[in-house]
Amino acid sequence: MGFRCLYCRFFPYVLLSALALLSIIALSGCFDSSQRPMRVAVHPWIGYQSLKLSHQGYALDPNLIDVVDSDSLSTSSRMLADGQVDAAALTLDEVLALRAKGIDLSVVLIFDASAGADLLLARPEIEALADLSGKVIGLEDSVLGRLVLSEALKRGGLEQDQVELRYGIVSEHSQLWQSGELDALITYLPITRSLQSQTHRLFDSHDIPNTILDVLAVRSEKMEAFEDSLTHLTQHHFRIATRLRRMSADIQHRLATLVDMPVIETAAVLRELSFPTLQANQNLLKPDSAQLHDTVVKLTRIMQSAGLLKGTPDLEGLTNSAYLPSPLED
Amino acid sequence: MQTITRISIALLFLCLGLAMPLWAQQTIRIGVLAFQPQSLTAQKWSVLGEYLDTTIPDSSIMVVPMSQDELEKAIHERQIDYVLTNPFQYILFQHLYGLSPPLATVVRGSNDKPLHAFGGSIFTLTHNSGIETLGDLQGHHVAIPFRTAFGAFQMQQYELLLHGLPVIKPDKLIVTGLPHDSMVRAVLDGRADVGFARAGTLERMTVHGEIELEQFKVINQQPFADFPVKVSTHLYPEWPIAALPHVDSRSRAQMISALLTFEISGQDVLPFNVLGFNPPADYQDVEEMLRSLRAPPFDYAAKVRFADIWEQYSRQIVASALALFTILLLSVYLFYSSRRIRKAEASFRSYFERDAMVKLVIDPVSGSLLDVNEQAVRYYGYTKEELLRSSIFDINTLSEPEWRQMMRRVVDGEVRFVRFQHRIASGEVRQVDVSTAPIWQQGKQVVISTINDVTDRIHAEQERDRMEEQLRQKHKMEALGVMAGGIAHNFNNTLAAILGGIELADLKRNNPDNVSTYLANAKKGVLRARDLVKQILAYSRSGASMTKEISLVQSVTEALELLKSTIPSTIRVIREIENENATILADPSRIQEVIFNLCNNAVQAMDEKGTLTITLDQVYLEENDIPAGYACAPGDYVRLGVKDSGCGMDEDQLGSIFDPFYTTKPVGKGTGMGLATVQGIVSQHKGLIKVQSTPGEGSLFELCFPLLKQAGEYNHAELLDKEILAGHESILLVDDEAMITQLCHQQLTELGYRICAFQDSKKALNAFASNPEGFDLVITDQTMPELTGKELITELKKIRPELPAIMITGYSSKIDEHQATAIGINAYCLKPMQIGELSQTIRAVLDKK
Repeated sequence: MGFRCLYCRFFPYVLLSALALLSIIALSGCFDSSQRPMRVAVHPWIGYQSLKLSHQGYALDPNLIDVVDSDSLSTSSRMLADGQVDAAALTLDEVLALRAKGIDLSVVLIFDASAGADLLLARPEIEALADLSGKVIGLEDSVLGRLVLSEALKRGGLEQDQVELRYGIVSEHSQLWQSGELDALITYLPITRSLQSQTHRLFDSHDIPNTILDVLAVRSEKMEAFEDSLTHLTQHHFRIATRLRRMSADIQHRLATLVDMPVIETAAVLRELSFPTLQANQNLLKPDSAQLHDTVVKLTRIMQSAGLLKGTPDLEGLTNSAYLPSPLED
Repeated sequence: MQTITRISIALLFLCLGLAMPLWAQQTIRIGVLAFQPQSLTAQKWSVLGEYLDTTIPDSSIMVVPMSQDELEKAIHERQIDYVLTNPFQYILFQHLYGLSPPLATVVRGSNDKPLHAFGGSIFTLTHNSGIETLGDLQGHHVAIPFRTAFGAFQMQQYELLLHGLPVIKPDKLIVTGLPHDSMVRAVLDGRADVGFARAGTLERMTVHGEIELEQFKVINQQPFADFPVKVSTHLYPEWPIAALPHVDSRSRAQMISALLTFEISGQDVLPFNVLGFNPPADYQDVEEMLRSLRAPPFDYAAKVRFADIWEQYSRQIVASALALFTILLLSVYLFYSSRRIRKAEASFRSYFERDAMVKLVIDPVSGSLLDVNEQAVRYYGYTKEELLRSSIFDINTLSEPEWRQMMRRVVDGEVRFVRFQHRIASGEVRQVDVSTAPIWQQGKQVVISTINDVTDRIHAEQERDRMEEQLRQKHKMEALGVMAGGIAHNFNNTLAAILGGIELADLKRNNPDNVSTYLANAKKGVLRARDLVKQILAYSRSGASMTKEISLVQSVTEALELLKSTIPSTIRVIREIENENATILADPSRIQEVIFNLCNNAVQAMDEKGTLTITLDQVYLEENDIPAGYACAPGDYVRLGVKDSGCGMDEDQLGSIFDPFYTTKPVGKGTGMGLATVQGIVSQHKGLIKVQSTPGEGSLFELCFPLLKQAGEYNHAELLDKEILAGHESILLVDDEAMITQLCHQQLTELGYRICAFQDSKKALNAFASNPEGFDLVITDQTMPELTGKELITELKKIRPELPAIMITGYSSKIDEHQATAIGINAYCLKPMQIGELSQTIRAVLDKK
């Protein structure tokens, strides 16, 4: 029997086997990932809780996403740098800092933008930003603190050497204020009731929209492998984001439990955050996004002047909108 | 005229309508969903009514508690202006009657813990260990207050959906009716396993002392740190208040303003612990829930566009389509395969049934007949049913273990063709050649046997063999006839020498020295005559081949001796013997037949003049030396050459000389069997034959036989006088020839034996019978009247089985050495025997005893 005859005889079997195999591969691809779930570090900040809420709502597929609890931004950052997790919820400046250290990260989702949650409070008698000249301003020695300061001074037509700065961590801000040394304080929500009563809001992140961003950063080399996980994650974020924007009672109570805050305070913070829609995400994350570029340049400048960043960071591949869901899935 | 009148009346009503608010207070009716008796509820809501009365100018506010049905009827008939109800009813009425968006949302609880949302609880008795999670609810009876209860049914069902679990089926619901407490009691009483309640119901009943909270456990408790009661579901916004479509914007604004500024005073209590109102909450979650549950007003199948499905499930659709396509292809392929198989089966069945050969399908383990064809039915003489009920052991004469052993070899593929004996219905046993094929049939190994009856063929072959043997014998006898003259010439010469010797001995009887010489010559002549007779007998012997170690030289010498007289003296005979002592394994008579045939052919080819050369040497045959068609192995061979200088043969003749009945001789001169016989004999001896011939120059026949022993190993039978051994035993001597009897009697008496001689074998038997112990040995001839030697010994052995016996015969076709041994004859000898040889044989037999 020649090869040709053998070929003719077994061709139907080969064809059917190939088709059956393809079907199995295709069907299995619909339901299961070929590898372990993607590990995502999340720390208790309201903006990042869409993942935890999805998890509570039984929507996240544990075969695709493994939410790893972290206690702070720095812990999440370290876990991502060490490779303990594949992705992490971080601030954009933290992403730039890690990239400057040589860790190739990509931003695939913007969770939220501060829209009032980061603010500059001042004594009642200081009525305008220009009045801050010669005044003492307290702030956290962080990129965010410096960013708000920079933007506020710019709006007030002031230079940094026209103000005196006092640094302190956020948990000490109330105490710092009570010492009486400060004329103004750059802090973020929630703030204590006493601070609320003794100050007024002179400047906040409303004035610099889409600048203070909380993002999902992924190790670039893992993105392709975790394509399904990333798409699954972003898809569920937008579902929760819709309810976050509506501030549903259920969400408020769940958030309050997650971040260990009273419901009223949680609602107050929630009101000062904006959750960019899918369309907004696509606009911000597309490679030629002028808005995000400006923000990154600002952050870079501030970080460089603070000595947190050396040289000009390579922004190539910083953002990637490929893992956002299609509009129908939002 | 009529038209003017109508317009006038219309203007009057319009003026009256515009003037109404100026002189009458507007009555605003707020319908409130109530689960308790209306009088009681109305009293409780009066606080709100009074507040609104004073807050909204020129209005009289009535808060009217209503059941679900009453509320819907009132909305339908526009008997109320505002409605305060649960979120489900609100969404329903909004869709059905066009209620306004929510104006405000109720705030409940206490002043220090105001609540803007509520949830549902799922509970069971604490000791019910079978229900711990939502997944455990399936199959259990669930108590609910009514089927459209928002917080006590729909929330819980939706939670099950969110978990991917089936909702509670209607047949598992225990509907207890209002108040809600009766549902809790149903669980307590055991009428239901699980209760669905608005969250807080258990806590309220505990506060009122109606139950103890520890009696119940809440399933799927949500992790709300800042919520005062245990919740099993998501939270949903509290009750909204909305306006009916006919209420104008100004009224709505007044109502919103009044509601948002309402604060309950310390001592007042509103139903459901209502504290006041907040700006309206978002009710999309409620709508989403109702859509998912297909609850009214969404109790219809949603319209889905294919594009939506494709967008969401494109991969699954492609995979499923591929799978379906594969299944379709498989189905088509299976269809055609099965059709092909069915055709093949039908074809096989047709071949099987109509085959002219007998075919059986046998189970190789049990031996049962699984199938038989029509020919089998005809052959065995049984009906098909009888055959299928029987097993192979009813047919095959082999024993069961032997058959099973054979089947194992068949199944293992070691054996394909077997000869069996099959018994047919008539009882006749037939010889059958069976070709077997082990195959798999319906997952079981079976053996298909094709039966070929060879009984007739075997008989025909046996007959053919017999005829061939007869023909060969005739041929030999013819040859002997040709040689008879020469033999007679030899024999007469020998007899002349014997006679001369005896007569000379008689004349010189007084001179012992000369007498001894003459007698010795006579004896030589006798022995030579004996050998001549032996040779003739050996050649003429027919029957089965008897192979033994022989010297080819001796065979050639003996054959030439017999042929000598038939070869004309004008033909020169040359013997070129190289290896005197090489032996082969052969039947001597057949070898002589070969030599006679070849020599006779050679002599006839030379036409009384020429040279006959007989050569004998040893050769080593390589693989290449062995012509095709011979089953010979390379090795040492003894080569016999017969060469003549006769007419020779051409190529055509050479190609046919070994064919049976082919002859170049004139009719009557040859049978055409000579060379065919030669080739057959050579092949039987695993040898080969080659012929070279040139017309006009002569032919050379070379025969090679496998060498058995090298030179020097063969012991020639020596014709030496043997030592004469004496004895004293009693011998019964029987021979019908008086001369022989007398001679033998005298010889044995001379040796010391006691002889009782008989010429009549019957008398000898009688004599022995009268005194069986009186004889130590019987010596008898074979060919005798009445009782032959064989029969005599048989009879004697019946009397004394251990009696030693020697048979001495001149020649008998009735018995040979093998047969003699078989009937217990201790020695079988041919006449004439020398006295020494006879005495040694007697001693050997007697001493062995």
